[in-house]
Amino acid sequence: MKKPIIFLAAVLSVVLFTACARPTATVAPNNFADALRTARGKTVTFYGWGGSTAVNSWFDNVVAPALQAEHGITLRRVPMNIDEILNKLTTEKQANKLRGDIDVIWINGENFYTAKTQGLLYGPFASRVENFTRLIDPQAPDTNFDFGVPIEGMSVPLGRAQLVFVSDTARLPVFPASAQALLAAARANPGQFTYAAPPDFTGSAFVRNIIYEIVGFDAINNAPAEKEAIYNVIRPALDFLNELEKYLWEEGRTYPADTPTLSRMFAEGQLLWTMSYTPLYAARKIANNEFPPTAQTFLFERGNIGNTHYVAMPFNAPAKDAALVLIHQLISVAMQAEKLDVNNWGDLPVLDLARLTAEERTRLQGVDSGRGVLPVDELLRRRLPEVHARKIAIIEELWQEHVLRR
Amino acid sequence: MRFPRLRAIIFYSFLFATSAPVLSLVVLTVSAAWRYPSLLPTVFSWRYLVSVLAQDRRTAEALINSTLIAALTTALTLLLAVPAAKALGLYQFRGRQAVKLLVLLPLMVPGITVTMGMHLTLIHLGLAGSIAGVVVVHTVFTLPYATRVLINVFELVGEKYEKQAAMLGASPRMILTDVTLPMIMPGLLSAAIMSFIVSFSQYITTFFIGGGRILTVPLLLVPHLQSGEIQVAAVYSLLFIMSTLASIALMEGIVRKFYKGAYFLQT
Repeated sequence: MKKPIIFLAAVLSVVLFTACARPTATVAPNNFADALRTARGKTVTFYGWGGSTAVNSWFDNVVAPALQAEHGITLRRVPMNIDEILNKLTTEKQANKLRGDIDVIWINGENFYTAKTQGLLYGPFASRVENFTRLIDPQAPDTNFDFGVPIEGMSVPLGRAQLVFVSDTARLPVFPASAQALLAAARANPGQFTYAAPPDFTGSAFVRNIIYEIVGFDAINNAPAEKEAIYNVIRPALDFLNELEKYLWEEGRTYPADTPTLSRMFAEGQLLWTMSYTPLYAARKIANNEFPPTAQTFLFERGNIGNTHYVAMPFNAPAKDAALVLIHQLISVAMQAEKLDVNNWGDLPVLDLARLTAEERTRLQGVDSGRGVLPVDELLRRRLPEVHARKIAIIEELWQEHVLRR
Repeated sequence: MRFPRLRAIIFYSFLFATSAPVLSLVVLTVSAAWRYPSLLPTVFSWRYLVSVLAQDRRTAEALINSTLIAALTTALTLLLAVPAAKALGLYQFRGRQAVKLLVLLPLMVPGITVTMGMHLTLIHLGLAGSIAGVVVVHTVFTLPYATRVLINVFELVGEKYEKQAAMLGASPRMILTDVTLPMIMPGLLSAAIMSFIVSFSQYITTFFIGGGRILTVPLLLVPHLQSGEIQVAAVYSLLFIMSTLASIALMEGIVRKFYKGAYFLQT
């Protein structure tokens, strides 16, 4: 028995003391043509939320083979939440680690604000991505601002999301098309409506959508990002949410912790509605038999909040050339069309339809968006902007103080 | 037995309580729709099993990594824990009680704190993002369990048999292989199984130190759990349970083969 132990000790010490060389930073390519040339044969790593098989499958089964076939680059997707990615990058910055593990991250909103101000991102790089300069509208609000934060070429839009509500025509004949109608519907069906408690991403967006309904987007958008000022502006909306609370699930004593729970309660028939920040979500759930075939997506008459999600590069991305090519590939017409397909992901495209060729436009418009959802042009027409990332945390705090813990 | 029926009731309710969650996991892996208030799923689908087991190459990679890391962690843990436990269990020295308590420290301090600190050090050592780094950080969390188990074993066994063997002329090597190891083998096995399971189920530590380069089963499981894709999570959970059980059975099998139960301390 002693020999195996000595053997194990030997193996362990070999494993422990390999890979001790200190790598140095990589040089970024100056233009897209250089990137294409040097990136061939490399591996590019994409880090992002990995909780959806549909999203994962778009990356693994659509993007990765195309990237390999067209540019000879291997894509490695690592499921990691953005909080953990930013933690990791912060530690690496502290340790002055110039050659990291991550080439491309999936990011937006508050996290983009944090990453940009902490110097965790590489860039500006957007102008070096060919498809970005060719296919994306430089004037579009979401090309320039991410939740009110100036982008300045530090990230490239990947897709557009929008808050949608889902109900069941078989159980609720008329869907509430405004905050007041929602209150009436909740009063008529006590205990059958609720929303996920902020800071859940979707629950938080719902609260902001109610604020838009009650006090208007401009009021909150113009308010300074200070707690006192925001409280004064959104007070009527918080009062409304407290009025609504009486008729919610469990009489609002508690709220579901996250939106997946909300959706499960809707799927199980406990609730009359659910919501999602993925506009074609209902189609996938119907196709999976998780939602009844009579489920239907709807919006408030005055519109729902939408946001755009982006890809960016960490300051210590090891393969910046391959990262540029991956980002180029992600926003190509073919990939965006596959992404819109509800059988893959069902995420709205970021491309400027006016810049596409007739053939490319047909490709994008011929995509199957599934059952129980709204047409893409209606979604984009009834789409409201997000407020500044810093205000979101303040609103969430005020909700917890004045609605949850009242 | 005076109350055979009561005994049976207790036995079967325990059996049910332990196996029901696993059974529901099995059913979950193929249930496409399981709505309240139906007792069983209304729509079945192989989709989740296929997507995890056949379509995702990461599953195999994660299984291999998880098993390799858990095995190396177990080996490193025992290598450190056996001498430490022997010293703490058998020898008298100043501060022994304090050290025995300090051994448990990694379990009392929140794991994330320990991990964040170690991450910085491991980056400097060039071990972040490697299997070795992950093994080192897992060992920090398995050592307390293994050491505690082995301290008790050494206290129970004492060193009189080792002394006797020495008096009869056994070499230190013979004492180790023919006396000490067989006597502590049941404890060693428990410590090994404990370390293996603790290492196998690490999530945050693997995340930070592995930096996403090292994929393990929990790393694939948790995102689906958080997003409510419980069927996919169920497939990974079953995979997790089965591979730990198989590894434990293998460990037990090897030990029994070498020691045939002849010297086993009856505990």
